[in-house]
Amino acid sequence: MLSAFLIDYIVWVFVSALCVIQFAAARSGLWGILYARRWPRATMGVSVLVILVAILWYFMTGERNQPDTGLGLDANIQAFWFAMSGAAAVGATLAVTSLINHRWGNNHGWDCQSGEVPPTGMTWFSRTTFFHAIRARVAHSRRSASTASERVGAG
Amino acid sequence: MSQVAHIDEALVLWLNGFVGRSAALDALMEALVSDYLVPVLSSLVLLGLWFSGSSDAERYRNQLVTLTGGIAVGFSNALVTISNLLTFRDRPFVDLDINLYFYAPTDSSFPANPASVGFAIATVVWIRHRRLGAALYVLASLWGLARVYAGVHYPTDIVGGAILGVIAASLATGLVGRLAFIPRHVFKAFRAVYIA
Repeated sequence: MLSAFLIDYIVWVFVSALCVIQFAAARSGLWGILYARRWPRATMGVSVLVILVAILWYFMTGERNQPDTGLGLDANIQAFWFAMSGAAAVGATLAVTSLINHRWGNNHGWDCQSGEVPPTGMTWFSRTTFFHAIRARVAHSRRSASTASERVGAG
Repeated sequence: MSQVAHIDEALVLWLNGFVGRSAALDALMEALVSDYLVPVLSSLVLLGLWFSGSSDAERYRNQLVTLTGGIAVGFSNALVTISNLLTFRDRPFVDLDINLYFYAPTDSSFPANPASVGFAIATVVWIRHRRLGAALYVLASLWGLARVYAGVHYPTDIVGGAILGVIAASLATGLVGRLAFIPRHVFKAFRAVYIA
């Protein structure tokens, strides 16, 4: 059972992590993982603002200086829940932005029929979304596998 | 040695003397001194670096900073734990007549774990990003200052913790540099599924 103290911590980290990812993505031109792809500068501004508001919310809505023998979180628990909340924020960002930017992400410039390997790494998010990128990778893997089996059959 | 201890005590008493004088300063210190603000902000910087960079090569270097930062935090905690096995120092609120503006920790005052963690992350980031690292050094220093203000650490605890943090960051940077082939292969796999 999660304590209210821990839930507050998780919410704070999750919201802040979402904003940090948006800020970094907007600054790095990773348009495919932005919630508001057309407004990168506004995204950066709003992200900073929400991070500040989240800090104020966290520290003004309860007594946060609690010993870890009581309500507080010890370093290991804190690190674990930071990692979980951060990973959830990454997952939510990749999933939701893939839906929001689905149509835009179709023009990613990679042709499945060409036989070329699709680009790897996040840099491709400057042209497409996470789902499109994964779909391209899966399509290429299937095509490679079927080509290999055809060669074995012909041989 | 006794003169250092005397200066240490005088500084704690002087800084702690500001407790209760200004509600705004107290509120600021209450957030700064906490176990959550600086670690979360520092870790968010590491998370942000994971996504930062205009090319895969630049992003890879930033992601190495994120990895090194995580390892440095582990090393700093290990160094503080080893140090705590060798020495124990009572907290200022045990020895001195002060306004404790925090809960009463029971572990050793020296070295300050918060300073160790804060300076470890700041050093790792500073090696690659001078301005961002400098901002994290300021944040880590404010965390240490707030701890002295609250009466839970002596200044030399903060200095000791900061030195351990820098050592931990150096060890982590050296380790990642020597074993660079491991993150290179792991990150290559991450890039294939677009999470790096």
